[in-house]
Amino acid sequence: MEIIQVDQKNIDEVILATTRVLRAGGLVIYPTETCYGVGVNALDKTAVKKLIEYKKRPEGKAISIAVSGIEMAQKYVELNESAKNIYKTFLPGPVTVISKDLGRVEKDLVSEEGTLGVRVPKYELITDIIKNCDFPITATSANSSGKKTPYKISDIFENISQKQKDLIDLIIDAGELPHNPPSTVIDTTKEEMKVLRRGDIKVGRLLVDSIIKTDVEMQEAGVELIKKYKNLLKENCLIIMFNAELGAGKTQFVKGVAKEIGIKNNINSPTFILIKEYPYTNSESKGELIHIDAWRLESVEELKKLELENYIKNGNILAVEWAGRAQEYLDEISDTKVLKVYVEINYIDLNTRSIKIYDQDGTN
Amino acid sequence: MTKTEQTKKLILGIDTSCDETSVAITQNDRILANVISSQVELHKKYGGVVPAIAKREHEAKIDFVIMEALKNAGRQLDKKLTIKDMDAIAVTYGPGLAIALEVGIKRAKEMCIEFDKKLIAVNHMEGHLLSSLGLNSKENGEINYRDLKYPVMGLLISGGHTQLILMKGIGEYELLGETLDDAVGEAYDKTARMLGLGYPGGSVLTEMAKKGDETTVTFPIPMAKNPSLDFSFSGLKTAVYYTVKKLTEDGTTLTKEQVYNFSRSFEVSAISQLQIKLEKAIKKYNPKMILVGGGVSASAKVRMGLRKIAKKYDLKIYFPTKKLSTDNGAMIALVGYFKSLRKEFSSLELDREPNAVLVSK
Repeated sequence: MEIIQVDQKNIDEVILATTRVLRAGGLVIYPTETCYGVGVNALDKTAVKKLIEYKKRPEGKAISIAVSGIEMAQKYVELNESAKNIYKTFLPGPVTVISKDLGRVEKDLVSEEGTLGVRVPKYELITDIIKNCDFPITATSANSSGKKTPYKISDIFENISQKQKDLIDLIIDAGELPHNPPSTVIDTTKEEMKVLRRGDIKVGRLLVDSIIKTDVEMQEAGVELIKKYKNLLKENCLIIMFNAELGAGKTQFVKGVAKEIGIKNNINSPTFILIKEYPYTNSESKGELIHIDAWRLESVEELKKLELENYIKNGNILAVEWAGRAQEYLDEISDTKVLKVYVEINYIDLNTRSIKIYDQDGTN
Repeated sequence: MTKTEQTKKLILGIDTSCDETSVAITQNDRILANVISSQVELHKKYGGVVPAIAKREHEAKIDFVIMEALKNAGRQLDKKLTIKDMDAIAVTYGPGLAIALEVGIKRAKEMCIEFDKKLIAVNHMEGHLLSSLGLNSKENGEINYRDLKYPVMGLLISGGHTQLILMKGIGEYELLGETLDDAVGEAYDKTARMLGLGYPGGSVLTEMAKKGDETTVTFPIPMAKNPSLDFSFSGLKTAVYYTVKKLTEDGTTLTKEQVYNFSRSFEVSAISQLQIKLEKAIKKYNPKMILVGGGVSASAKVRMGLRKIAKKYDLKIYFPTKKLSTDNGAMIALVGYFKSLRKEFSSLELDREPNAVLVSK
């Protein structure tokens, strides 16, 4: 094990020495803007095994990599729009961005879901070393899993065994680092479904086109819609599909729907639970209002697991928020008794919305 | 086993109310094991992690999670435990996702029939409410249930719920108020998403807020002047959304400082509302202490804000540990223990109640 004290004068020498060790599959303790990290060549299987042994980390737990910038990151992960924005805004800096892995780094670093954490340290010495190596290095704190965050070399030595010490090839000692918290991890992989694409829904006749200024008016719009469909519910199932931005008033609309069919319960967001069921009985029909929110789901496949076909029954009303990409699935499970309406709500300003309601092509 | 050991009750608790498959074993109010599917390595057994939003996923995991819980609990007691050793099986019947609840209930009933055990039906919200009463394996905890002084004010803050509950005794509850739209944890996650912080981003937002300045932008505090004890977070969400929308319409992205400041201002507004409603409830009902439950209680800033109110009224306030704050089986087993003391057992006809409300029976 070699220890180099880094200062202004020997930077080039440190870069060369570290590159040499990393290329040879060695394990390096290095400073960052957060804490001391431990790096090995992320493309080298033996080196990664060595790192896992050093970290005493259970297998199957993902380990992030450090790269020199966004161009290098794109070789190893797929960057979606939100990831690109985060790189632009926060990197280099103490942020780790989780993206879909492209299969080029050692698979032990990749999570079970096929995702990989990437960071660009705000520590020029390290990004220079990575540039010089031309491969990513692992970016995980230099302590064993679960032990104290290391801000100086002695923090590391106090908490590791001789066996672990023997695995270290090089230590870049920059003295005691400022006690900054570990990097913040941002997962950008779980938002595919949340991006609603316009034009995904085939619409029919325009039934309603109006301007809404208050929550009460939005509820009223729900009431009016049900008034039109109430007498059909006995023989049909109604699906209300929403295409609206966050905070546009979908829940208020559903409150109106519930009120008109005689549901007394407080209707609140089904986002977490995914589906809320409210039974109702009125003079014309009985059934359930099924309030569904697909916002936090990742794919149509996940939505299918909710087995919505079981809810297609005469008398039932399915109010589906974030229905954009679910339309195909909803079409699949619908029979001739299913009536569909499509509700589009858009912002005009903070307190004003435009609402357009269509029925679906080919139904009634 | 000593005689006192023998009189202690072993309860197996199951929660499959939403995403997590969780099974725990308690010995009276002491938690011996608390296995949560997302926190154990199932991949080796099932060839890949799958989100447990569906029946199939819960079904695939539940037996493994039960075995793990028995194994872990057995280690605490230095003996091999099986279902036969349990005094009762407690299971969440609601509120939750219907197809998920069904799996836990079905498995609980099967075990009751096979091993001739008593079934206990537990309301998920009662679990959250009493979660801070759970003692760890060394019998240490936030507060022992014997030390509760009534009435107790309960505040439940999570991704799925925001409720104020008055507790006149264990098993005696009154729902005082709840959210009219989004749950507070949901508002955190949705706001994080708007600020480009990924999903689920509630805890990332909390991190970002540390560097923010709340004076640069002010977001409204919905329901602040409303006399009820109900909550609302939709207006706050809309305010952040519209602010971000206006700033990014021309294709620009938010600056780092804007993300920090908006996170902070959001947090200030959300916590203020919790404080205002808690204070209103304290003034109206004069509780002797406060119990907080739910995942949002893990936020240091939220705790600090709520402690401030408690201190103002010279009240003790208790929070669950992080693991007991999110959905877990231990809180279900714990409620099961209290119900078993009152002999409140359920028939094997028990059915899921996705909309179950926590009220006195």
